[in-house]
This record gives sequence, C-alpha cells and structure tokens, in this order.
Amino acid sequence: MRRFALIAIPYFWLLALFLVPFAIVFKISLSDIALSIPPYLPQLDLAKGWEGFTKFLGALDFENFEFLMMDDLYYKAYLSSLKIASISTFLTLLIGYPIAYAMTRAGEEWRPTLLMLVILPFWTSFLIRVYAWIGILGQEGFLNQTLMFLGLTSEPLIILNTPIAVYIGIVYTYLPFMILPIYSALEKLDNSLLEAAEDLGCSRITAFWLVTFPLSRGGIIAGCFLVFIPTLGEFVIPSLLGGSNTLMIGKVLWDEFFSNRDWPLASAVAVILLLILIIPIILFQRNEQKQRESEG
Amino acid sequence: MSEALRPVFAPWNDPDEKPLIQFKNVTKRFGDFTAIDDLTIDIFEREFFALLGPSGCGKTTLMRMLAGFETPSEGTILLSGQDIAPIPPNKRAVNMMFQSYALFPHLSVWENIAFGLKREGIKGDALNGRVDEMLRLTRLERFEKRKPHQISGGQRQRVALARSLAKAPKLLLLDEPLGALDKKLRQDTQFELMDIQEKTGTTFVIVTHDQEEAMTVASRIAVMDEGRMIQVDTPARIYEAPNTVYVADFIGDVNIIDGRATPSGEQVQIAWGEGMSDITGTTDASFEKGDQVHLAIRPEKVSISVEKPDDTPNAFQGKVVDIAYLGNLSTYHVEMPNGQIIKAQSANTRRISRRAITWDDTVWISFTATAGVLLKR
Amino acid sequence: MRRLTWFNTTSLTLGFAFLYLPMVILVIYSFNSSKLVTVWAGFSTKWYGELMRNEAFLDAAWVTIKVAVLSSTFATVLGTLAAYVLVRAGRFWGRTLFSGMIYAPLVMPEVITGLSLLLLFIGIGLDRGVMTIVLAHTTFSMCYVSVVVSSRLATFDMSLEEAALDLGSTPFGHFVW
Repeated sequence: MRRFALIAIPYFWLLALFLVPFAIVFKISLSDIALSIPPYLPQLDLAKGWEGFTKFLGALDFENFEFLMMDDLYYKAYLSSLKIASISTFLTLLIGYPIAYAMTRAGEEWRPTLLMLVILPFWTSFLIRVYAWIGILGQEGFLNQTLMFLGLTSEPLIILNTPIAVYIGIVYTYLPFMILPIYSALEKLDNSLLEAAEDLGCSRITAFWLVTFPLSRGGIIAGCFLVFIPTLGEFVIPSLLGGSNTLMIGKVLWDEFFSNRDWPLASAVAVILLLILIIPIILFQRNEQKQRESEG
Repeated sequence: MSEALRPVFAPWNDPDEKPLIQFKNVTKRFGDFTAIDDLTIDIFEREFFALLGPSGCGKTTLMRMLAGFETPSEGTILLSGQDIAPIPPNKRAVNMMFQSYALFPHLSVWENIAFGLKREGIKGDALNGRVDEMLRLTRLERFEKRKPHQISGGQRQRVALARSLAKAPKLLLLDEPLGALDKKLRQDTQFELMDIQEKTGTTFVIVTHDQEEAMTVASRIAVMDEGRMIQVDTPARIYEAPNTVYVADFIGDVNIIDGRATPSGEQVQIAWGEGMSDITGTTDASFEKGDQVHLAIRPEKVSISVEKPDDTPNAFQGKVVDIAYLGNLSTYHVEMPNGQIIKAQSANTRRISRRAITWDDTVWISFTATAGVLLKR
Repeated sequence: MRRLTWFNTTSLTLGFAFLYLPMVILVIYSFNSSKLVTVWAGFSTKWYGELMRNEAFLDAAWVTIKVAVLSSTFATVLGTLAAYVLVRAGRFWGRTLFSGMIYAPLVMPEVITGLSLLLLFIGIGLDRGVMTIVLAHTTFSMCYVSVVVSSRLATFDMSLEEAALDLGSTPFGHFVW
C-alpha cells in the first residue's frame, strides 16, 4: 500500500498538471472563438447531462486546423522556426563543444570552479540577461561603441532586430545546456584509450576524431535536443531581439492568444507544434535512457 | 637432445650481441619525487624481460618512457642505437598492452585489431590478411564482430594482445597484463604469452608485481626498488643467488639469519645467537672477521626431523610453533632458542594422520653449508 | 598529466567571457548615473536607492521570494519522490508514461507549458495568483530535481541502506537519515 502511495503522488501530480492540460489544449483547438468568458465555445456544462455532452461534441470541429493549413503565415512560421532552431543548435554545438572539452583538460582543482561558472547563469534571471543583449547589440549599444572606439568599423552595425541577434541570444541562453551533457560524457572518457590510440599511431588530432568524438556522441545528442526542442517554441528571444523580421512560431502563438484573443486558433498552433516535437522528445528520452544504462 | 647441446638463450652474456634497448644513466623526476634514479641497463632482442617490484618502485614509469608517454629528466634511451626521446609515441616501433586493456568500446574486435594497421595506411587484402592472422594467433576468430562489452575478461585480454602485436613492433610493452584474470586463467595465459613471444620473435618487456608470473615467463628479471634495479638476472639466479636481502625476501619465501662472520678457510662461521653453535656457510664473496652478515636460506632447503641428523654441519633444535598446510607441502615454523623462527618446508609424502611432526613438538632443523647465500646487505 | 593547449585556454577564456560579459556590463551600467542605457555619465548608486523606494518593485520582489521558496520546496519533495520511484520501484503499470512525463518538461517549450496550464486553470475556474504560479513552477521544477536526484540515487551504495536496515531502522526512517 505504501508503495502505491509513493508512486501515486508524483504520478497523479504530473498527470493532472502536465498531461491533462494538453488534453484541454486539444479540446479548445477544436472549439470556436466567441465573445464570452472564457472566449471559446462550446463549453462543457456537466449539469446538462449526457445530452449536453453529445451537443458539446457536435460543436467541435477541425476548422482551426484547416485554417492553419491554408494561411501562409503559419506554414512559414513553422519552417522559419525549424530553420532557426537547427542553425542555433549547430552554432551552440560549435561553441559549446570546445568549452566542454577544455574543461575536461583543465586540472582537477579547476573542475568544481568551472562547473559552477557554467551552472551559475541558470541561477540568474533569463529575461534580464536577454535584455542586457538589447543594450549591447543596439545601434548605440556597447558592441558598436567598442568596435567604433577600436576603429574596426566606421559605421554602427545593425544587429538588433535581425535574425543574427536571435542567434546570438539563443546560443547565449542555451550554451550551458549544451556544455553540461558534453562535459559529463567527456569526463567519463578513459584517458588510457587516448594513449592507446597514440601508441597505435594516431596523432593528437586523429585520436580526437577517432576516439574522443565518437565516444562523446551521447552527450552531443543530449545537448542538441536540449537546445533544439525548446528553441523551436522560443518566443521571448525573438520578441526582444528579433523584431518583426524574425518569424517564429512561438511568437505567432503568443500574438494569436493575447493580441487576437483567438484562443482556439492559438491552441491549434500549439497542438501542431506539439505534434512536431513528439518525435524529438521521444528520441531525447531514449537517448537519456541509453546514457543511464551505460552508466550503470 | 641433451642439456649440454641445447642452445641456451643468453644474449646478455654474448659480447658480440648488440642490445635492442639501452638505458644510459636515465633519471626521471616528478617535481620533488625521483621515480627513476640513474638507471643503466641493456635489453636484448627476443628477450622476455620482466620488471618486478612493489608499487611505486618505478617500473611503470620506466615502461611509459619506452612507450613515449614520459620523457627522461636526464640520460638517454636508445632503441636500436637511436635516441628515441624526440620520437613521439605514435611514431615509435613500440606498442603497448595496457593494464586496463584500453579497448575502444565503440569498435568491434576486428576494428580494434585493425586500428593500428589502418593508421599506417594498410588497406584491402593486406589488412584483412594481417587481422585474420592475429585473430588466429589469439584464437578469437569467432568473436571478430563483437564489441568489447560483449566478450569476457580473458577474451578482452587477448584482443588487447592481438591489437598490440598487429603492427609487428620490435618491442612490446605489457603493463600488468594478467592482473585482472583469475589464477587458473592466468597460468594458462602465461604459457600462451611465452608461446606467442617465441613464435613472433618480438621482444617483450613486462611489468608485474606478481613474482610467480615473472619467474614463469621471463628470460631475465629486473627486481626494482625506489627507482633502481637491485638485481637483473635469470629467474634461477635471482632465486638461488639473490644479491641482497631485499631481493631474497621479495622472491619466494626465505629465512634471513643475521649474524657476525668469522672466515675459516673456504668457509665462514656465523655467530647468530647466544648459546647456539655457529652456522657454517660458503660464499664467493669475502668477509672479514666481525662483519655483519645475512644468511638467506630457502625453507625447502631446510630439513626437519624428529631425531638429530648426523653429518650435517648445521643442525639446531627447536619447537614447532606453527604449521602451514598447503596440500602438497607443509611449512613448519620452528622456534629457536634465541627466539627466531626458522621456516622449514617439506613435501607431504605421507597422509595427514601418519605424519610424525605436529605442534609443540621438539624437532631438529638442518641444512648444508652450501644451502644458503651469504649477503652483505 | 593533462596539459592545456592554447586552443583549450582560448576556448575557456572566450567561452566564459561570452557567458559573463553581458551580466558584468549590466552590473556596471546599473551604476550609471545617466538614464540612457548606452551613455556612461558617471558613477552613481541612485538607481539602487530608487529601487528601494519603489513600491511596485518591492511588492513584486516579495511575491517572487514567496513563489521561489514554496515551489522549490514542493518541487524538491515531489522530485525526490519521483526519482525514488524511477530508480527503485521496478516495474509498474504505466512506467513508460511516468518516465516520459519526467523527461518531457525538461525540453518542452515554455509557451506550451504556460499556455496549457493557463487553460487548465481557467477551465477549472482557479483564479490566477501566487498559488497558480507555484503550481506551475513546481510541476516543471520537480522534473529537474528528479533527473538530478535519480542519477545520484542510481549510483548510491545500496550497502549503506542495507546496513541501516540491519541496524533496525524502518524503511522510511532509513531513507530520511
């Protein structure tokens, strides 16, 4: 009995606050916009009994989804999000891997400090750090001031409100997510494997590509998922740094919900986004499981 | 073939023989700690050379210098007459078999073995042929497609061996290769190693702390302590003619009797205890009257009997305080009048209930004048 | 002995500089006496003074602290429970779903979690306030707790638990101690 309670508490919590909300989102995506509170119809009124329920089901339709398919905006936004997420993930990998690798090459006494330095940004406000970039990337921002002061550019670079700023913002925010799994995978690497590779004729670089890199694959995959999946739905960074030029589905969802007050349509956008994400999420979980098993 | 006609492998005794490896006054320091102290030694081709010693004696450091993972602080190391210090490990004709095997977990057995060959650019039929040859040599043909985690410890050890031999190196270094195997497997593998070494004609240098292993496989053993080689000799000479108490004590079981020497003609009288007659010993070294001397004598050379034996120069009476029964042998711990315990070993030629000697018995232990070795230190 | 190549040292320096520069700049500019973000007009702590006097900020800060304390406490409890279940409970009906629900929130875009929870609260008529924020934070924070704790738990030395049990503590007691 005690075992049941132990399992049930977190289980039901997650069911109620994680899974059930998705069902509600799905239901609302099938509803129509209305001038009511809440602004959608039909609404389930259990008092009306079975008849009320069947009438409720009858009023649901896939209208919103049809609209999504037809209107250009959404299709473009999904594609744009996929493109931005892919490129950002790749950039984060490019920048994060050398950092994680250098961390493992540092002396033992440095490790705890370096790890702390990577984790510390998690403890600060994400919003404020992104705001800081506005001040840095603007036309009169810190970056341009420094570049002009150093004489490297004669005119201010336009970075803010372009996709470049979004890339910078995303890489900046998600870098620790990439560094940590790669670091953890590299740390487990047995140094004698590299010595063996060298002994058998590899140069340092060849040893890296033939031994270190393949063996860190699990960490790389975990890191990429940890960046790609949330980035797909990002809306804060494109809103603050990307301006109207950058189209991302998260922003579209936000606008539908708050500006247009079209909850059913916003829900439909969310449902499609979720469907796109299901496969990556499952793959992510599988990879995590594989990592856990290889550890034990 | 009679003993006299069979060629004895002893290139170190041949003045015309050129050594494969030469250490000349090599010292290695790690900060304040001296791991190798002014070491000079020659190792010859086709030798199975064992570095034996306790942890921290420097044997692993020595090997890593040969492999190229450490460079000497002072001195030179020559391989076939060439100074190898400037040559990085990936360019030496030296391969190493690691203690942990260091098999690449993401590659199959076949790919592990082929790894070194591919780095040399060997491809196609030549590659396949060589890998197959290695698989046959180590009897791993059935496992070529498996990954390291899918085979047993003993099989992994063979993969490590095959991989390190694939490039036919002049010198193969083995770092405690049998440590992870159980005793029976270890013994079988020791003979396999010796076989493979003879067949391929490679020079092996093995690091081990297991003296039985060193005695079994090696053509010569270097007993090391604190960065120095105390004695370098064949297993027989190390065992029968140790040059120090340290070596005598390190290999096998031994009785060490301390006393004062009085040379008398060809022999030496050793006074070793109040009220006890002197021990008579022989030695090639020269001792002066009153010199501190250590007699090292192996338990199997000490006889034990209930009655006093006649015409043995050294016979002493004592009490049996302990018996270690080892199945085929028994070691008797006999307490002497001066308190020292002498170990006498004899084969159990009679069944247990019929043995004459038991605890607390008064017995005579005896040994000949030539049974022990007289050591100065 | 590990040696840091110049490539490694550069990676580390540039990498951490990138991570921390914006925060450092932010801190420096918080002492800027000019209101403009980009023009330095001299050192001043007046903004901190204004912060202390700003009612709205202080109220918000207090609410934030409340939310943080409550949600982190609940998340730790629930997350540890979940971790224990994941590592120790063996097989049970719906285990795959459970494990999925623990890992999915780690990567779920915030728009979706936010939106879905908002619709839930509206649907059941729960007024939005501190409580709803705490509920939301607890839910996805417990997943982080769970992942960290379960990885530690998996490598935990079982013999310690067995020793405790052997010496007489109850299963729950030994878990606590």
